Parts: sequence; structure tokens; C-alpha cells
Amino acid sequence: MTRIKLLFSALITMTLFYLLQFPQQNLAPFPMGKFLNPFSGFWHNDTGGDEILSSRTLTGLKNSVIVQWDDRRVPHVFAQNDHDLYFTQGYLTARDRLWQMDFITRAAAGRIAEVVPGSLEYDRYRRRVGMIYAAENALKMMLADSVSRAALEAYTLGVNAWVEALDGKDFPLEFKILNYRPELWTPLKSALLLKYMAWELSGFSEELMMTRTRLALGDSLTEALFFRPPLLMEPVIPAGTPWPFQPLPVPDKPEADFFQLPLNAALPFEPDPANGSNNWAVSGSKTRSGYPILCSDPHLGLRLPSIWYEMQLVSPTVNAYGVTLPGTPTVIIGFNREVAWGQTNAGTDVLDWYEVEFKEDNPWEYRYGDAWLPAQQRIERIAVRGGGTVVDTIPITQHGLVVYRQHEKAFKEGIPTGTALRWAAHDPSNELRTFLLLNRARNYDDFVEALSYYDCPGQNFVFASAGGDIAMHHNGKFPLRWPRQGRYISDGRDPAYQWQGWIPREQLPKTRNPARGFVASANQNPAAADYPYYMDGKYASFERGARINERLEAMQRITPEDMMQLQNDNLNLHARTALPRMLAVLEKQDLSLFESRNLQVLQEWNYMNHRDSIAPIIWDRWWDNFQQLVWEDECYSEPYGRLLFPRRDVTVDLVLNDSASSFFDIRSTADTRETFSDLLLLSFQKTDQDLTQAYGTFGEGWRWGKSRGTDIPHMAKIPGLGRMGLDTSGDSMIVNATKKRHGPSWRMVVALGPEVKAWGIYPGGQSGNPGSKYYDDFVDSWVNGKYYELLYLKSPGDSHPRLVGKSILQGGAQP
Amino acid sequence: MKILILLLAMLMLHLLTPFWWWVILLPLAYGFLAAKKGWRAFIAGMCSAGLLWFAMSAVALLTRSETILAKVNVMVKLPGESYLIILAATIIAMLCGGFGALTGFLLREATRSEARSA
Repeated sequence: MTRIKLLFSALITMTLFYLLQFPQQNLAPFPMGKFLNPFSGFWHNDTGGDEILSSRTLTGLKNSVIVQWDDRRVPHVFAQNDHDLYFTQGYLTARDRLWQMDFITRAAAGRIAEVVPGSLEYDRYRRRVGMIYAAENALKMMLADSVSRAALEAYTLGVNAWVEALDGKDFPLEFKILNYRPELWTPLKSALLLKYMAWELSGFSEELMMTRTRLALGDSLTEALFFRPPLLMEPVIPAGTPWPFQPLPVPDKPEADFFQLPLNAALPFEPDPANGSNNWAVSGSKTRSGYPILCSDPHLGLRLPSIWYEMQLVSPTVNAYGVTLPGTPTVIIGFNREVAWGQTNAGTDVLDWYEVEFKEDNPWEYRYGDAWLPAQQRIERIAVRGGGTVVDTIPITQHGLVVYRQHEKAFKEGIPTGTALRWAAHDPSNELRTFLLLNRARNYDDFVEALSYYDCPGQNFVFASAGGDIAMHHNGKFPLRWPRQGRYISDGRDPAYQWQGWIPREQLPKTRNPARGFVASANQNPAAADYPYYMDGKYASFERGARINERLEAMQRITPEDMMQLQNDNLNLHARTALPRMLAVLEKQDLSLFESRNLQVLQEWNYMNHRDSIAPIIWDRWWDNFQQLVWEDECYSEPYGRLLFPRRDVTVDLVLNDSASSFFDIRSTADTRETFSDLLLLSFQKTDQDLTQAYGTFGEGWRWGKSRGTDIPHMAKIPGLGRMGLDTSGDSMIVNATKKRHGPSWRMVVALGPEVKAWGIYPGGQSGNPGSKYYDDFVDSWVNGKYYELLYLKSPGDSHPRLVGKSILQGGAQP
Repeated sequence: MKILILLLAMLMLHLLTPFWWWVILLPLAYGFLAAKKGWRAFIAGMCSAGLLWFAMSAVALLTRSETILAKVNVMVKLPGESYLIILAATIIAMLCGGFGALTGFLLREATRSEARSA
């Protein structure tokens, strides 16, 4: 009897142990016992970390460092030398953002499978596109340069000073949830982070889709739809800007016009949405103060913890304020006493795919010209949690890494199998040097020198100085191309397709102190057709850029408040351009009661995508449905399936200028010929059905801030740790580019002058700890379009009512 | 008294080491070495472990863990108030402590009867 009881009781006890000790996929995907343990579990990720960092001695610091903390937990670091400055940057960033730094660099490197089971194919994909390869190449350059090397090594020491002193119960929450330990930082991780950003901003490609589209539609239609001169576009550098240089000769297009699809490419494919951004600067002639004002507003995927960490970094060589990327030294977007700078994504294509022909009996030899060349072999070892190590060998050809062989299945749709990837970010470069120099820049010449080190991802750098200069440079390493080169999959057999040099840095599109008194960019085409080189890529539609230009042209005696208003401008230029014409036609149609009501809402709309308005959701859905109807027949073809749709401004162009176009005919209805007017009605009818189905009856549920709204999910999508359902205005092609999960990631306004003043906000908070009150404390202000005044301190002794405490870090024994 | 001693011993081990499973192991050791009756071992284990985890997590809630509690609550899909996660921790500790102690006691009984019959 005792034995039966024992068996029973022991079984329950062992089951309890098992359930609590190991992650349970459905019940709790983390080790519950450890997690709930009130002595070291999640309870310790509380507001305790919110206190001012106590003064301490740190091995590795040369002198003492003073950190002033303001009421938003922004550290203002005063170091006596640059080593201590970047050491402290690493230390403080690790204190607030360690898990984020760890996870993002794991994701970049393809090391997620070590901690999250089932991530092997993700890791393989990251390795195959050459993330570690690129980071290693960049690291060699960074370490070869004594200045960037010193910064990188000091930063690494600082991060590790924090990590090494960390006790298990103080691990950031996500380590407890995912059940792994923080590891030591390395300079390679910083390089990986920069490459992660490079992939986010330039790792897109439409070549597979464009090749398929051209095959299906033929040359003339493809040209007409996809390379139509963008009539409404106002490029970053306006037409008429002189190009006072002799352009380099561009390689000729090979005679044999290669274009064919790789065998396994019949996959559906949606290109990633471009990460858009706005930046501009107005010269003193247009401002009330007489000094330039610079605005920067990068739009990125929204998540918590935020991609940015705000800091002021001061040493005898520098006093820079702005946002930093957790994982790399320096300020990335910011200002100092004399200058300010910011970036938007260039969008110019620096990533090409080449079809590679391997020898039939030897998968490590490929055709190049008349010869068979041996492929280099790059070996990647992918560690898998609880499952050993997977060894992966990647062929490297003249054209780059072969991401997937012909017979393999690509992890991400849109990657052509059997092709090699040529990506500018694979080449050695030292972008860190650019930021080290920008942080210390005092004038335009310093700015130009800093940019000369910056290769990838290409960016529109905006600049303004207290000296009165404003400038915009479309900057990066861009290959020389013949027209349309790189728009389709290239022939890897033909050496002529290889990139043959770069557009010289000094010949890139740029402008300094233009007569119109401002410079601005919003990811649109960098230059007009008069620019001597062929540049193409994923450029934004015209609306955001045109609206910014329209406002800046009209504005005079500009104040920083005017600039904040412009960053929050909700005018839907797309609707203002196309809607009146569409309504004029639709009004003549027979509409149902509900449709008439929707029509009336649009007729009364002031084109503002305000959160309290209902019109934006009706317009948004109507346009989508209309566009779908216009193109779904043309842009679908057996056996290729769905093809790329033309850019939005092409459709707008048709609506305004060519309403008799045959594109409005629905091809599947052979006996009737639909007109522009028919399509408007059909799509408008569908819109009412769609909206009622998605958001219920007309009313509160249709409000833009509710029907669209914004979510900021946690970086690893852990439920409960994000901020969902935020009541926001704006939209993607609106100056206030707030979308569902994407939007303004750092709004900054800098008024230069004898005393620089600045304002900024990002959708998050300084602490990466979900239990902290500083985790998401900026979010509500961000939703409401508010700004914080940034405290730019000049000396560690400065006092200000918003300074709340001070930490003194003392140097310890040298390691 | 037994409960108090058990509780204090568990508290010490918890403070010194990061392991959660003292709430099983310690009651198990107690059951094996000192318990006189099965049901009393069960209650002593259950009360000491449950009380300890309850007290510690309640302190956490009352001091500065409210924000994280609310978030973890959403994460583990518990409805409503954040005290539910405390309740969950307490129940888990009670079950561990109770069955740990009972198993310890029965293990000794089984080995004894084996020794007797041998």
C-alpha cells in the first residue's frame, strides 16, 4: 500500500518538477519555476533599477567620469578623455538596454537558434546573406583605424564592466523569459549592429519580381508602367541644380540582353516596405532667429525597447547630444554646439542578384566568362539550443555569396535561388569613423570629410551649422550602372555585368545653401533626370517630399514650434491630388444610402489624416480597392502569378491625366469595357462592405485613430510588453508618417545659434526594463505630437531644475 | 514550529542560491528525515513553501514590482488583477512543498518496510 502511495506521490512531485523546470510550449514557453521564484525571478525586474546609478569604481576607467541625470533618465556624460567617454557610453547603455543589444546582434549574426528553438532556418538565412561576413569585413577596417578602434574597444570594455558584475536575479527580464544568460560584448557585435541597420535600410530587392513582370508584360508595357517619368516627383536635389563635373564613363550595356527567371523563382513576393524618413534644414534667411534650424525624423519599425537611446557625450574633444544605437559608440543623429545632422534613407539600389551557373559534376565550380572558377567556401557553424551544431558552407563567387542553391527553398520569399548576392555592405567600410567625426564637426568642411568614410546604407545626410550653412548630401557608395542595370536579375556568367566602379563621392547629388533657403529629403528620387548618372532604387512616392517643400517654400520667419508643427503635419497630399477628380466622377453615379453617406464624409473632408476623422479610413480603403481593380488584371499572368504593381504616383497620374486609359478595362470581362467611372463605383461599393465588416457600423470604430491606430510591439513580440492600440494620426505618405507598426522613431528639431537649443522625442523610454517607469514613458507624449526640450549641458557643474541626480564613476586599477 | 523551521531553512537557501526547487527538495528531506505522519508532512511542506513564496511575492507587489506584475499578468494570459500571479506562485509552492514532503515521508516508510521484511 505504501508503495502505491509512494508511486503516486512521487509521480506528482516529479511531474511538478518537470513542468516547472522546463519551458512548456503551450502552457508557458519559459521555465516557470525559475521565472516565478520570488527570490530571483521576474519580480526583481522592478522599479529598483530606476534609481540614480550609485557612484562606484570601475576597472578600466582612466579618470573619474561625472554623469548628470535628467528627469527623463537621459545620461549626460562628462569624461576627461575619449576612452572614458565611450567606456561610459557602453556601461550605461548596457545598464539600460543589455537584452536588446544582445538579441539584435544575435538576430543580425544568425545566432537566434542558440536561444530560441526552431530558428535554424532564420539563422541560416542571416548567415547566407553574409551578415557575419559583412561585419567581419567592416571590423577589419574599423580596427585598422586607430581612432575608431579606440572607441570600439573602450565601448566594449564598458559594456563588459556592466555584464561581468551582473547577478542572475538582475538579468533583464527577457533573459529570464527566454532562459539564457547574457554574454560578453565584442567589437564584432558593434559591427554586426551596423550591418543589421544596413540590411534594414538597403536589404531589399525587386529584381525577381521585376524580371517576372518584364517576362509577363513585355518590354514596352514594363517601361510604360514602371519607368514612367515621375511627373509629380520633386527630387531631393531639385532639377536645375548644376553638376559642375565631368562624369566618369559608365560601362556599356552588354549586347546580349540577359533576362530570364531562375528556375525556382515562382514564389509570391511582397517587397519590404521601405523605411521612410524626413529631414530638412532651413537657412537663417527663413528663420526668426536668423540662424538655421535642422529637423530630423527617421521612420522605422516601431518596437519596445526603442531602437534609440538618448545621450549627451562630453569629453575635451566633443560635446554631442542626440540618439545613439545601443551597441555602437557615438551619437548617430544629433547636434553639438556648432552643427546638427540627420539622415533619411537613400533608397538607391546597392544590392544585385546574379544568376550563377555551377558545373554539373562539381557544385563548387561556376562559369565566369569562358572559364570555370572555383568558388570560395565560407563555413558557418550554427549552434542550436539543445541540438549541437549545424555546419553550413556558403559558396562565394566573383559576384558575392550564393544565398540559396537552385534546389533549395529560400527562407524569405523574393530571394531568387541559384543566384549570388552582390551587396555594397559586404565591402569593407568604416561608418563608425563618420559618426566619430560628425560628433566633432564644426563646419561644412568637417561634415564633408566625415561623409567621405560613409559607404552603406546610403543616406540623405542633412546638415546645418551655426555658421549659417545648410546642406543635403545623397551619400554612400553607389555603383556605376548603365540604365536599368540591376533592375532585373543579372547574368553571373558574363563579367560585363559586374559592378565596374563607383560614382565618385564628390559627384553624388548634393546641394549647399540653395537659393530657395532650405534643403529637404523624404526618401524620394535623389535627383532629376538632368543628373548625369543612372540611379534607381526603392524611392518613395512624391507626396511627403512635395508637401514638405510646399510648406517650407511658403513659410517665413520660421520658429522651432513651426517646425514641430510641420513634423506633425497630417495633410494627405495623395488625397488632395487625386480625390477631387475621383469625387467629381463618382458623384454622378447612383449610390446607396450608406455609400452616399460615405461620399458626403469625403466631400466634407479637409484632407487631414487626423485621428478623430472618419474620412481617412474611407479614402484609404477606397484607394486600395480602386488600385487593386485597376492593376490586378494587368499585373497577373500565368504561369508567373501576381506581378509587381506600378508605383502609386503612376496610378495618380492616370487618374488625373488619362481617365480614358485602357488600363481601366477589366480584362476578364471580355464583352464589356469598364471605364474609370465604373471602377470608381465598384471599388467604392466594396469599400463600404469592407469597412462595415472590419469595423462594425459607421461611427467610432471607423475613426482613423481607432480603425488604423498604432501598435508598438515588444522586440521579441512578447505579449504584454508592448503598447498596443495607440490613438494616432498621420499615415505613410504623410509628413507625420505614423503607420500601424511603423513611424517616426526620433523627432528632432535643432535651432542653431550662439546657444544651440533642441527638442526631441522617440516612441519609447530610456529603460529597456519592462518593469521600469522609464520603459515607455515617452509614448503618450509621442502619440500627441509633443516634444521634450533637450538639456544641452556645457559643464558637469551646470545646474538645471530638470537635473535629478549625479553619479561619479572612479577609475580603478588598470586591467 | 516545524513549519517555521522549514520556512526559515528554505528562506536561507533561497537567499544564498538561485534555485527555485528548494520548495520541493527541502520538504522532501524533511519528510524523509523527520516527519511522523504522512498528512502532517504534507501540511507542513505545503504551508511552509506556500507561506514563504506568498510572503515574498506580496512584498514584491507592495514595494516596487507593480508595473512588472501587471505586464507579466498579460504575458501569461491571466485575467484581471495582478494579485492572481501571486496566487499562482503561492499555489505552485504549496503543491511543490506538500507533495515533496509527502514523497519524502513515503519514501522512508517504503525503505523501512523493506528493511523490516528483509
